[in-house]
Amino acid sequence: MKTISDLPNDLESEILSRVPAKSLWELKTTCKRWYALFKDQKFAEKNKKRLGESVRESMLLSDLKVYAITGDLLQTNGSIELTGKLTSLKGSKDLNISEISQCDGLMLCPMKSELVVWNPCTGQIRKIEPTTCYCYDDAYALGYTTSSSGDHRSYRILRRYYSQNDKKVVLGEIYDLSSDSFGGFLMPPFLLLATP
Amino acid sequence: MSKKMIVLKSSEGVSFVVEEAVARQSKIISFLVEEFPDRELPLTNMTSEILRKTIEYCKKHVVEDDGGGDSSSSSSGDLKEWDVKFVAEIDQPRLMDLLMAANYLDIPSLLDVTCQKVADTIAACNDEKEIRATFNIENDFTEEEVEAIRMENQYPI
Repeated sequence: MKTISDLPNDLESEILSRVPAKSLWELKTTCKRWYALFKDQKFAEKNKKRLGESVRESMLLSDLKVYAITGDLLQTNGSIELTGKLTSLKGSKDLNISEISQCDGLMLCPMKSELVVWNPCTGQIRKIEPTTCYCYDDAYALGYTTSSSGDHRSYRILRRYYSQNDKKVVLGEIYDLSSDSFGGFLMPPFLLLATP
Repeated sequence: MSKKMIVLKSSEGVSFVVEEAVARQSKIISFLVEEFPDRELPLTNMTSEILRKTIEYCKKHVVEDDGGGDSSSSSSGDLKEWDVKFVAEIDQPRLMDLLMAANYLDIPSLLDVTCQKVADTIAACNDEKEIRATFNIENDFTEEEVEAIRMENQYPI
């Protein structure tokens, strides 16, 4: 009796590229073959290309909560479907988010004392640890740099904050999201602005 | 005008007489028919059951494709519906065999519907345990490895 593991690699990859990313993320520990495949950049591109047209997600920030919305906002007739909601890592309490920024569908959500990056497509949440403590008047932006070959994007977070010692001094920090050890920052704090 | 027939032989040695137009939906058979006209084509890696299913699919699709005059968008809709029903009636192991047959014989539309059916089945599973049970996949991870992956903080962008 044949099973999916007996299929040639290209057929297995063809089938799995048709499965929505959210399911794939949950199924990555099925077997080592699948795990390796899901991490493959080429497979991710194939999956995105195949499902990209059918999946359209928008974000809604309402009452300090962030939701994912599926479907075309222009095509809806008064009602929208909320397909995902960003919840706390502990899963117990809701988060209070005052602003969101996004890049390629990744959401950066700063909160009072936490910073999280959310992938609404897969449902993944990643908490960003600060180098110093977060402050209520910090500002964040999400962006990326492209590798020299041009096929891989490295996502980065820019943090703008005020110096603890002198509130007139504005500093900047850049975090690299793709590095495994996310504790440190990519660029040391640099001076953005010092008002006389 | 009598239709030209060709003979396909399954792995059990059972012969199937099929209209050439039906069989030609397979790019491989199409090629073989031209290379070896008037010869029986042995398909040694296909059981009679799977070959019968494949022919059933090809028959349905050749009729619809030749429909001509009154075939409209609704008939292509009907055909899609028929495809869905066709793959829904096949159990998991046989679906795999049919998928392999579509791949081997190079029948793109049959490969498409069978791949989609398997993908839909995977997406409908709740967790990896259900997937493994449905598709008879061996779990080659240790518990420690699974735990390490769950803790992993990588983005599959």
